[in-house]
Amino acid sequence: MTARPVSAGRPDAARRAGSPRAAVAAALLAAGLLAPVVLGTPYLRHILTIGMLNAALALSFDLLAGHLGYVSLAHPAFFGVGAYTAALLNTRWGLPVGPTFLAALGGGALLALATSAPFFRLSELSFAIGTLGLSLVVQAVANNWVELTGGPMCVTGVGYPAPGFLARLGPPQVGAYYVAFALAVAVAALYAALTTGRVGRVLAAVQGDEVLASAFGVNPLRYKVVGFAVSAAVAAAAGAFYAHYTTVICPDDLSPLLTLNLLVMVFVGGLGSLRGVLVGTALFTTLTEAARFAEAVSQLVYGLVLLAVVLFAPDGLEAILRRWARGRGQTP
Amino acid sequence: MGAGEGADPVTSILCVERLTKTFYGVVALRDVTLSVGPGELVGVIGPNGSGKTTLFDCVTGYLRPDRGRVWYRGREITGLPPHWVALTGIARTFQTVRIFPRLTVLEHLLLAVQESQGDGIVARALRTPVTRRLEADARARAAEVLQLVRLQGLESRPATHLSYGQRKLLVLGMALMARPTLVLLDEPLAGINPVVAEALVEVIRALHRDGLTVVLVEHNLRAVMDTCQRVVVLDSGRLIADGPPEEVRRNPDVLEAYFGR
Amino acid sequence: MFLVEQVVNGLTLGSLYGLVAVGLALILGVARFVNLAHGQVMMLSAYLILLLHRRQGLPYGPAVLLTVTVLTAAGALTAVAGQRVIRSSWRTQLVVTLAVAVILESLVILGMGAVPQVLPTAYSRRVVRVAGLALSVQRLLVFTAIAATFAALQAFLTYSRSGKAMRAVAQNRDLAMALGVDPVRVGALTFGIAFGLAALAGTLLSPLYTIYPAMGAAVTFKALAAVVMGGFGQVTGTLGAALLLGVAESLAGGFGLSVYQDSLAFLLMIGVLVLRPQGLFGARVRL
Repeated sequence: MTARPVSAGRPDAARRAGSPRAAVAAALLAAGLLAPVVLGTPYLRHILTIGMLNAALALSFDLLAGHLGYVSLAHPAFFGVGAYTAALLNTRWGLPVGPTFLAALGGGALLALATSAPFFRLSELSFAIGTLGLSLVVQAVANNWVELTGGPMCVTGVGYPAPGFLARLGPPQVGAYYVAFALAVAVAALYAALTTGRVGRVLAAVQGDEVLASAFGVNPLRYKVVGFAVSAAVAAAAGAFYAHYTTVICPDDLSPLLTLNLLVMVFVGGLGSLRGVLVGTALFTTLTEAARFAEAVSQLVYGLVLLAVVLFAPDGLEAILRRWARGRGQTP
Repeated sequence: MGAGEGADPVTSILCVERLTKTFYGVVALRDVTLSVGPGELVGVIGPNGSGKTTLFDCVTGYLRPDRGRVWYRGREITGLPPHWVALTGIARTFQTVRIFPRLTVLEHLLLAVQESQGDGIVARALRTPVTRRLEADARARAAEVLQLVRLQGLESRPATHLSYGQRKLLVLGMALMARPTLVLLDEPLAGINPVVAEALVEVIRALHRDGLTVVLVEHNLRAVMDTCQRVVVLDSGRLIADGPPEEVRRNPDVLEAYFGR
Repeated sequence: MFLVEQVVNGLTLGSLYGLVAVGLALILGVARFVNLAHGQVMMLSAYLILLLHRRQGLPYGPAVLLTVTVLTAAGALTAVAGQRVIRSSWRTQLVVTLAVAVILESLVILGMGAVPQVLPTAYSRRVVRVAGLALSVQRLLVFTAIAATFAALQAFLTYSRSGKAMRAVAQNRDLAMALGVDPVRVGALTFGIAFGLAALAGTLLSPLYTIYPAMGAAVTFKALAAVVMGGFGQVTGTLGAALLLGVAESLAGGFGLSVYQDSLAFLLMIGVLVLRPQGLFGARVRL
């Protein structure tokens, strides 16, 4: 991972409207809004929806891995807590579909806050081991606490996320797509807000040298805990969407292998870069839908791809994109 | 203030009282008592392993002393975590030059001041008007400091591209960003060429003239004797001399510590 | 009697965790490397002895020896070939070893199928009575072999030249190198021993349990929890924590709490991190 200034240091002009960056963002937003209208088939809409979900998950994962240096193996746990919170509140206690997202968000953040003290106690290592354990425990609870979660019988009949005011646009799948799209856009905006400017500068400093940062008044633990809680809350919201969208949530949906998918998206695209992670997510989503292998085969392929990228191209596609941009005379 | 006057936590800027620190039974500091008045420029010297850096680490919260207390402007700061100590107005540098690999020169300076400006994470993420005004203040201050440490024109460079001497200037600049009352410099002159060293000494003298209180640990005896009005000598964790340079130079204990028996 | 049986079962399970965990602790202490694929090394050894003993008909004893030798050599080779990764950041280490774990597991699924298999040996069928307690000979063999292994390991680390070199590197890598210790050799030795211990776990204990591709992943976490509880890189502390964990899990299972059995390691580990981050057994000295 080569030295690269965070965008906070760039002249403000680069972020002003009219710059290529703003134009690209506007074009992406427009494309996202028009996509379900242009793409008529339910299958393509489904892939797009899953892509938005993946983007939200991958960005929240990278917020921690790419900007604080902590690989969280607990993303499946937070995803699961969000999914079960939303599904159970909706099916058992009749909470409507919108508020379930807020409950999931809160549940994810609370679990992260409660576990952050021991996880950050020692080093990146205790964090990795602790988060791995958390993902196993949450799956075990989903499997074994049958009275609450239904165990392997799953929670079924979860409400579909199609807001009423979008009903005129077409089938409910269109409404669900826009919910996923809104989630992805909100997460991208949050990611951008936290990784640039005054917050991004602190994250880069904490990741670079905690001891030095604390000599200038930075409380490293505070930023790590906030980063972890935000990342967890987003994963939980994504889980809530997943439960509503598929209307079923099962213990197998929280497999620790979800982390493998996220690692592939983030590392192939480019750790610590909004553009890179989005490119990685788009590639991953398209290719997994295009080529459906048996589970063991796809695991093997993901493992090999991840290994190759980490060993031989640790900056992912983002490094190539940046080289290309520089070649065309733009600012890096 | 000379040796033997003891500590006065009320009128001094920094006051250290009977500070003791051991590592696995090895004594790094033993009953060190020292007080630094407003506007003083104090040099701390001593052979390798005499406890100079340990003293800084105990004052700034990186190490917790076994015994003894530390006051800063009449307030006890013993055992506070490093970031609290920094926010009270004590700036420090490290013996090994450390920089942030992903930040530019300007970003280093901005980072060094922003935590003391008081805007919270939410305000920063939302870029509220308050945050934007504070950022503008920080940038204005950074422009002054760049001038002071002679790094103008390099602000958008990644700090990793700076030479060793330039990094030392940057680190000094960072220490000055938040207008501290007290600056602790750990071997600012070590390992740099005479030209940069001369520039650094000039900067330190200028700061002293402006009324800043400076304590510096240094190996370069000549520079300390020439620059500081007061010299403190540590040997094996004990304070063995404290006074004006010419007095310390003649002190038999100091001669023995440095040149052996 | 029921209680004693549960404790014996727990000690067996704890020995399995312990063999894997002590290898992890050695690698962590000496090479500052975290291997998330260490349980998979044990899984590979279980499949290797399945092939050698059940499919090829090699007698059990020689099959154990051959498997342990092969994996010890593989460990040493890994240390030499993977030097760049071993010296990289925690983040890179985690991602690389996680990828390797997934690759190994999926290869085994593709080659051998995901269906659990059993490996009966002559010893696992024969039962002896010790003080009214029915124990399979395999279990006695496991206890004897493990006690001998740890005694030998402890003696090796304390008295032999190479063992002292390993401890020196664990305590102060730069100083050890300055004094002429070859870090590559020490790394190869450490990884060899660690892989060998995992292979011993796979070959001795798999006759008592079933063999399936995901068995490694389950054990990796339990072993990591034992490493944390034992105080990051201490051999005796890690072994003690692993045995304790095995007994605790077995007792939980025995008292009808098997639902929480899998969460026990996590809860104990969190407890240790909060209350005693230096490890259960106190001392701050590594190895």
